[in-house]
Amino acid sequence: MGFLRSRFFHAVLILALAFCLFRFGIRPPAPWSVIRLYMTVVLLATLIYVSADSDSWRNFVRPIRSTLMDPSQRALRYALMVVIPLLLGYYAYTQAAARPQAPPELRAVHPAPPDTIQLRGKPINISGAENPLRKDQASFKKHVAAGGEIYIRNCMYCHGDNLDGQGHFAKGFNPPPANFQDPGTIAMLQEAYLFWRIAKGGPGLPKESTPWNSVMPAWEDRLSEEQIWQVIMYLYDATGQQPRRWETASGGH
Amino acid sequence: MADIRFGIVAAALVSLPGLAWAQAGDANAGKAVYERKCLLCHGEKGDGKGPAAELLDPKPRDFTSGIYKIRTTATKAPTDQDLFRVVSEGMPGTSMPAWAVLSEKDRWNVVAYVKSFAADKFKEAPKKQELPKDVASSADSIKRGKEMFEAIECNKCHGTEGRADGPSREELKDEWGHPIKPANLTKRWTFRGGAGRTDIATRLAAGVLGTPMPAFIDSVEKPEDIWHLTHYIQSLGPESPGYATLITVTAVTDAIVDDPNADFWKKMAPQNVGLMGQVIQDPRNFNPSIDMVAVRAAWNDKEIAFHLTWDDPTESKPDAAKKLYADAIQLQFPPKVDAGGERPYFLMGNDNDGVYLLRWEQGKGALEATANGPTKINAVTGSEASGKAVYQNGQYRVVIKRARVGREDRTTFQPGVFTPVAFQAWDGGAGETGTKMSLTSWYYLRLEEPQSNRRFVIPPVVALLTLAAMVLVVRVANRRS
Amino acid sequence: MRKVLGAVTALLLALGVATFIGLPGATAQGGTGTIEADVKYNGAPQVEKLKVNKDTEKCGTEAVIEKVVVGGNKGLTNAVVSVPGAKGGGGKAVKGMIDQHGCKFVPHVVVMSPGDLEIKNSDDILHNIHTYSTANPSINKAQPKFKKVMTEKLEKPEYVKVTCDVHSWMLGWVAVTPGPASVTDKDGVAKIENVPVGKQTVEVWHETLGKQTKEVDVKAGQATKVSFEMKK
Repeated sequence: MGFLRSRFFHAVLILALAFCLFRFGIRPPAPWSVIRLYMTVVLLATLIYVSADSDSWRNFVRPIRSTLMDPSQRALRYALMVVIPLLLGYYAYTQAAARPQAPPELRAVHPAPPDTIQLRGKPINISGAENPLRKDQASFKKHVAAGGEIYIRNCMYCHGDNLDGQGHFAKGFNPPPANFQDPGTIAMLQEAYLFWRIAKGGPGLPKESTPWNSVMPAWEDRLSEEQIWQVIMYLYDATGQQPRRWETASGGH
Repeated sequence: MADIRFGIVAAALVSLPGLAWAQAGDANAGKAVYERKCLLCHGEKGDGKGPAAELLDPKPRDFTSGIYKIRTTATKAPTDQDLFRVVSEGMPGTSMPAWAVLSEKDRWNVVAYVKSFAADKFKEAPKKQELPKDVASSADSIKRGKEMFEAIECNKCHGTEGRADGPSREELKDEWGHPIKPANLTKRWTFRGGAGRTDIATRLAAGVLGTPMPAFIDSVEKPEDIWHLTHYIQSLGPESPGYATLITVTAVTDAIVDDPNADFWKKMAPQNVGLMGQVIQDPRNFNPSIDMVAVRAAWNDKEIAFHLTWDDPTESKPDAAKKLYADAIQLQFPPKVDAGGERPYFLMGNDNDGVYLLRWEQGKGALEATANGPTKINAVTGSEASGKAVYQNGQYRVVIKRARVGREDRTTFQPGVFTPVAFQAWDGGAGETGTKMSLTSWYYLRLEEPQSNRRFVIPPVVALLTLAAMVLVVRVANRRS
Repeated sequence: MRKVLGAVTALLLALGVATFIGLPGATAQGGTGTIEADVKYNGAPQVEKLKVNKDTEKCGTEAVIEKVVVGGNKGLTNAVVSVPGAKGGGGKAVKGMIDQHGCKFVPHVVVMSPGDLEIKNSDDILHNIHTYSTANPSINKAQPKFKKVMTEKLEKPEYVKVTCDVHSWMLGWVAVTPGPASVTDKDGVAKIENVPVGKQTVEVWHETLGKQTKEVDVKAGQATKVSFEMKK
């Protein structure tokens, strides 16, 4: 069991364990670019570990040196000389023959909202505004129920019955419809922000960060101010998310 | 006495292996889940008349009828397990989603509650639909399946090649008198009860309750024909559509062939694009007829051509009085391709920002057009687009061809550039015209540059260099020692 | 000659025994009678016509859907006249038989006692037997060209609608009746034999015009007349 004490074996073991941890231990799975970055750090740390003192370094290098020089290792040496160039050659082939991918559709998740919008000629404050329907606690259930009906008749096709962005029209869109169950969407936003996105839709997105590919309709053409606030209440109620509050001090973005 | 009772229970459990893991749900607990998740479509009374119902096709299930499409029983009522599976996996091709987000317990409770709308229909003990002895799929089995498909005349509803275009399709009604479409057998991913072998065989054997689809278990020549039919149905189309987001236009050196049925096009792999209904402008199209178009494309120095394939059950004869319009399809491009820049509004542009269209319309053929919104399409005078179309067994195949370099405001297609493209289609036979259409958001199109030989040159060079480096290292190491 | 004699003797003997112990249908008052029903309809016939787009070799080019057929002297055809109360009445159990011929159900209305229904396909094309019932299990079974005969069970009294989804104009009815029954002819007349004597309720049912009942007094060996006028 001498190899258990070998520094070379330690190094390989650490790298293998670290890889398994990054690849399978993180939920949701980390992108390859992140794994690559982490692995580089681990590799550097391992090199520092094995080269901590000259004994350790010698211990680490011994198996490598023996593979390179030992007459008894000749077979392994030749095998490596065939396998490694072939592997690298194959890698080069996959890179050279790769087909191009479509440019990703950008979705800056939260573009800055305007301070006010015009809803059918009526100015509506977005910045710092609260959902006016929430003041009336007694009618909460009524508004949520009305919102549910509006949602199922208008939004469900794309955003899904389950509010997860997987409606039966979703397959035709790039990027896919927003997933309200995801804590990164409506839970990060104020209700007034949603009001702006629902009322103005894709056409109302700011021009600075184009190109957009949002197919979100401008619902001001179809829904009244109250209906938009109601559907917003339904979104939070049905997903169990809480709207973000405006920071009182700044009252801004 | 107790022993006998125990024996009966044990026998019942053994004889219903499908139910062995079924849990008894709590209908009262299920009511709360139902009212939160199911009510908006299926209605408070479970009669399928929720607020969304009028917009949906197929309609939400009326639970008070106790009639269920998907069941593994030979008797009328499904098993709890059948209902649980539909709740958990949804019904592909309809607006019923998979409710796997609910806990298993919640789902069993919902099943119990849904059953309570027609409790008397579940009194009879379910009898499992037995399937004939399994047969492995093979070329012979598929051949036999085809013979049986023709002998039992599946084509009457499902069409000769399975595209739901059979002569009886217009007449079909469900139990409630709503028109109902036969399944498109080439699109297995839309099968309501799942696309697995056993799923298909069970539907064939037991039929689909509440629909015109009859039971065939006693109506094939030999029992195992059920499996041969299953294999033939599976051979009619791919398992999944594998939707593309980038459309590659193949570079060719020869002339591009006009005939949509030519080998030239058959050799290319289809790139499937999913379409959905236009629900932004009135009149809206909540239940579009065309849900997919398969795209093939080719270019050479002079020309570019698009080969589009899509299923449409009728080659419409336009007749405004009968609400029949011309079938049509189009590709939409920005007039000027500005890499990374803003694109016109995806819904055929707007007043400020128009789009360029390559359009094919029944009776008019291929033409160039521009649009400033879905109702403002203008044919380009002196259109240079040409094309050919064939309609066969419920499917259109159309080639639209044009010069690669466009004049004036017509899009020019440059190799290696990501060109935005979107698709729109109309099934005139289903009353689609104007804003009633199927469409996509913007996708990308790319003219593939002729494959260079780089991929054959670089890898050997890399391999040889690596080998040389390794030899060098070994030499140096040996010399040092 | 001896054979005929033998047969006659046997018949007489059987009759004698029957009279003596009483047939199941023959009630205490003894014997059975006949009901002659006359069903009239004062409205217009309802017949729809449809252009056939398939199987024209078998089905013809025009399908006729007969919802109300009125014959001579305003007689209503295809109405079922029955005596539901006379269970297991004097008659034998009637086996149901329906044929799919020329893309029509022949006859349009079948009368049967609870039990087996024989379904034939004489057309050499696919039909599917699709029944709409509440008392009996509903049936939707394919009957391809090679399946000439199928047998299905209808064990509960009911008027069952039968359709074929492949040929949507095809429409037939099966009247499952516990007692003796008959279907009106082209003049609206139906004759029911072997009705037990005494007070009986006669029921008339028509697929479009609904149901009516009347009380009659059946006398042994006599024909009792009863007339109905169906309304929309």
